[in-house]
Amino acid sequence: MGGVAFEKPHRSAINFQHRTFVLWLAGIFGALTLALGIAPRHRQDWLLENALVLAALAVLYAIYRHMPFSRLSWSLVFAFLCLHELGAHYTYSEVPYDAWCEAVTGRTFNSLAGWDRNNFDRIIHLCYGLLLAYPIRELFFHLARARGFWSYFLPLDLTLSSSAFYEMIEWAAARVFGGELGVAYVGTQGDPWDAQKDMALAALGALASMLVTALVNWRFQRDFTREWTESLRIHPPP
Amino acid sequence: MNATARSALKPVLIFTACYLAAAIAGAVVAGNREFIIYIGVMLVLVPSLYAVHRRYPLTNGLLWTFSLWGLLHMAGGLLPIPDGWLRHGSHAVLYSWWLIPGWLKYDQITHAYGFGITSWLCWHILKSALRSADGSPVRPTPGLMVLCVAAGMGFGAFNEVVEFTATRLLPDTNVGDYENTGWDLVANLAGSIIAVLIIRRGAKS
Repeated sequence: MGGVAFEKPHRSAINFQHRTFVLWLAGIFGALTLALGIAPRHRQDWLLENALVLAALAVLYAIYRHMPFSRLSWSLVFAFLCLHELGAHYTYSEVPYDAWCEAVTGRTFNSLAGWDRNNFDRIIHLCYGLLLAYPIRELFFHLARARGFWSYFLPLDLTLSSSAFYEMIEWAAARVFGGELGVAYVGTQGDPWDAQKDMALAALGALASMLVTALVNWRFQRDFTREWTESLRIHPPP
Repeated sequence: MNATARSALKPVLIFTACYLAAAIAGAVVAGNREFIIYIGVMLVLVPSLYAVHRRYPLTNGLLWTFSLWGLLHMAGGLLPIPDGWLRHGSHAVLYSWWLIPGWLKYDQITHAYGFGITSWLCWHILKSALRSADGSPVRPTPGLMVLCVAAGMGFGAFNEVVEFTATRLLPDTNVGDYENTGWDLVANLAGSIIAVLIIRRGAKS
């Protein structure tokens, strides 16, 4: 068998693995969203940022019912969504991480890192690849039985393409809404290369995540090399 | 690589080498430093495709469409356009030419074409590498086609990142801005969708 084989998940195979764990995470996320939704800095931007969260939750519910996601994957998705909610509450370009850092260390984070702009959005784009590439890999693993090379390449590719798709949505939303809301939602902070940097960081995060995963599997998975070689085998046409 | 794959490659390589040589000569005569970027892209693209061709022998159609993409790319960056032609920005080359003023540039057509055939290439590789659960060859199902569009979009995004890197190396490039990136991504998506629709239609007929 090659690297990937596609089959539809059985409709009756409803999966409730890690039910209590997932419900706890959902509860905490719901509470956090409500708390951060009470007085966001820009209500309209908060609504716009959460529109995509609603779509993501629908996808996650389908995954919860039909696929055995690991606890690690659920935790990574949870962490990413929490970070996003923080950005939605303050508006990405205004998250006061500098003030938090100054309160703890006496110096702003930007002065420590040598930055001159609010880079919370860039951190989140990096986290998008870093935190979500592994769950995406599990998705391909269960839905498409992706193995070997494909199980590392496809998550990387999907991270890049979904990142590009998100940049398109962001750009289109900015054009449609315009004005202050458009500026707040896009959060380029005057950088004409914002989209490229965002996509590059997402790819970098996904690459790091897949490299770590491959390294762990190479160390602990007995048939790693065989599976990798097998996944690159060509099937002659019938 | 078998003899058939080798013989299919020869005319394409000669054609590609000819237009590359002409482009380099033209750029050197005109003193155009930006050609380094365009040649650089080709120096990555050609060996990458050769490596893919060795592993998953490409069809004649794929080889020629990719060579044509290279030609469109080189011409876009290096061929000057007459003063009377409406253009975007200060560089009077094909890439800046408005085919439909305010709506469609040569650049976007090249993006749509290039990442459309990249989606086609992804389908070619996937159908060679994959098997259905019962061991039969995979069909161009909606799921697989979405994957091919995603792959095309993914490579398109990678291209944008490479273009951005180019602006760091050469200060005066004709790469574009935030608005241009948005339209490039739309063109990539449109090209990829058109490609998978053609693949699906071809499979049905």
